[in-house]
Amino acid sequence: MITAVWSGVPDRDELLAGARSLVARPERLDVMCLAGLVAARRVLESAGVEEAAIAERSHALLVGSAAGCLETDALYYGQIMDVGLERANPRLFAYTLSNMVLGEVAIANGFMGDQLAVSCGRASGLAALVEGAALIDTEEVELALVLVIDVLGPATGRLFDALGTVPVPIMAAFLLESRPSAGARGAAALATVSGGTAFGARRPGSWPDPDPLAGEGVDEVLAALGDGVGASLRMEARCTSGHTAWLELGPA
Amino acid sequence: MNARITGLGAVTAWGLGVEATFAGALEGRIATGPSEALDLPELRAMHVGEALPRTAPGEDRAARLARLAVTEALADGGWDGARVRDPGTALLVATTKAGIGVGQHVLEGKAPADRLAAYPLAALGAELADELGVCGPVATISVACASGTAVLGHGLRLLRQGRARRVIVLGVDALSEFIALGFASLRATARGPARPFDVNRTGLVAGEGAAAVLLEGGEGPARARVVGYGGANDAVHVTGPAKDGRGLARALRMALRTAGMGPEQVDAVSAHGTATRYNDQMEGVAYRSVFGERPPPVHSLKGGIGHTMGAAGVVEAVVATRGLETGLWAPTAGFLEGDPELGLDIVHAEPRELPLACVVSSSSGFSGINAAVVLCRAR
Repeated sequence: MITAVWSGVPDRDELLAGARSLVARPERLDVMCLAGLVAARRVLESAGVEEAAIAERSHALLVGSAAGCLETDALYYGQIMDVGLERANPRLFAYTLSNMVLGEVAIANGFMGDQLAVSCGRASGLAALVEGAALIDTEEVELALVLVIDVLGPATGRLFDALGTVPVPIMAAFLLESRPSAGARGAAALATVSGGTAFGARRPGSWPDPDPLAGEGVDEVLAALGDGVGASLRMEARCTSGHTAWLELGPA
Repeated sequence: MNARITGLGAVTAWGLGVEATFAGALEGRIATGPSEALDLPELRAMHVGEALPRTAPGEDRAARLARLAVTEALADGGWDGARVRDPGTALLVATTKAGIGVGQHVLEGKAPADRLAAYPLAALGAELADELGVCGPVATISVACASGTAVLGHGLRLLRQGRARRVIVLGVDALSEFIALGFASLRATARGPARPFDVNRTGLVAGEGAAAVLLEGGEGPARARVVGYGGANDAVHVTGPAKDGRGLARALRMALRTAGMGPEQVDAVSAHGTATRYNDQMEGVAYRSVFGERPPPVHSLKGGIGHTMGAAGVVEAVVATRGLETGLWAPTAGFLEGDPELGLDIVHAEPRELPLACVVSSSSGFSGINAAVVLCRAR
């Protein structure tokens, strides 16, 4: 079940301010990591889950992202081309990996369990939620923190210009827990995840404008959790790539 | 539930196909050398492990590698179109940066902007799913250089969760100037070939390749079985491994627990073995912590073909499967003199004949992730 949710707008300056209390020298991080750090801490704070509670429970850390590290890729390769290999920042190369955000979140919050960065095009957000819910349902873990992040910038803009669409960023975090885990700390459910899957399908379509990227379907989940889930709801995300995901929410 | 391995495919610097790869592994052949495919005048002395000749700007090198490996695996497993198109068939792709070569060429103006559609991480999986007609679960999993091992574990998970009846597991990454320069900038690359676990190692060698493993649930014939998986974060540092090997040790213990096995039942280890001092030392500590002071014989493939990044775990599973079938554990190419600090029995010089029933393959990657799978001989 979903016990906490947080979402915000990935503005670099605000993220830097928010991350100062979480890590040393946040300026060294790319925007995706900053967004993950801030979103993770906010959702854990809103749930009242501290590091000790994470350590006591089997847990996993997931992120769904469509754009991944495209911005950081362009920034790093631009450095190599502009100033040469010797002066390019080697740290930045590491941040071209889309799971780096999970490493930063793990260090800042004491997540020692498994991690999974899921990419399914525009279905990435719902797919990550589906994977998190499946880990809980099958009792592989008691707690799963699911991030859905797409940060934008000039490189991402160029990519989507070429595809003829305008991308929309997303920064959201969901805390999923087993009923016993939530019960042990007296937490109430916002909703249950009663089903879902992510799959490939031959469903060609046009690129929407604006394009919600990994936020497709996740924006509806956020709205439903905000309003309260009174009846079963089914959210779906379809990507022109063929990636499709659906997630069913039920009342708490 | 175990996952039956019913088909294999591979393309590496050792050659095209599983048998070429396994033959190179058994010979302990160093197949890395100066690049013939990349425009890297500033890195001419650097070794890389190339699996393909030079490709045209804008051509998706990773996609070519992927198709070769998947085609071989599907033929090996005897999977026809109907089986691939069955909704119970999943496709999982492990990669760190599959489309980056194409993206780089667009950034440099060497390829048209519309080629950027091949750049996002999920693009290759979507393209393959469309070509093959896969309409079951499809996802790209990226956890740095542990991606290949993690995706094998995720395939096992999908079968155990009942979300798929069979899974095409693909690990793939291609060399590009972006990747080679990135590795070089980390100042962790070798002068010459990589020498995993050797006292005189000088660092890693970047490589490329693809490998595919077909997994099926239920009873039936198999080449080998995936019986356990574990994944764990170090939560210490994002680019350096935990010196006490805590994350890898937890991943190994979890893999053994989910396999229902004890450490004494492991007959050999396929290590991450990048040939960086920090990684080798971390693995030594982790293996001794899990297996005791005399861990099972260990090998690394990265001295032969370089570090194939997201493909590495799947390539290693392919070679381990052939090892379980033949009873031959491949030697560690490039290894000359052991590092006494490690306390490991490194298989080197020639293949070792072992009574292999179950083996472990492990990977570690940036962000602090560690993953381990347990593979056992087919019953």
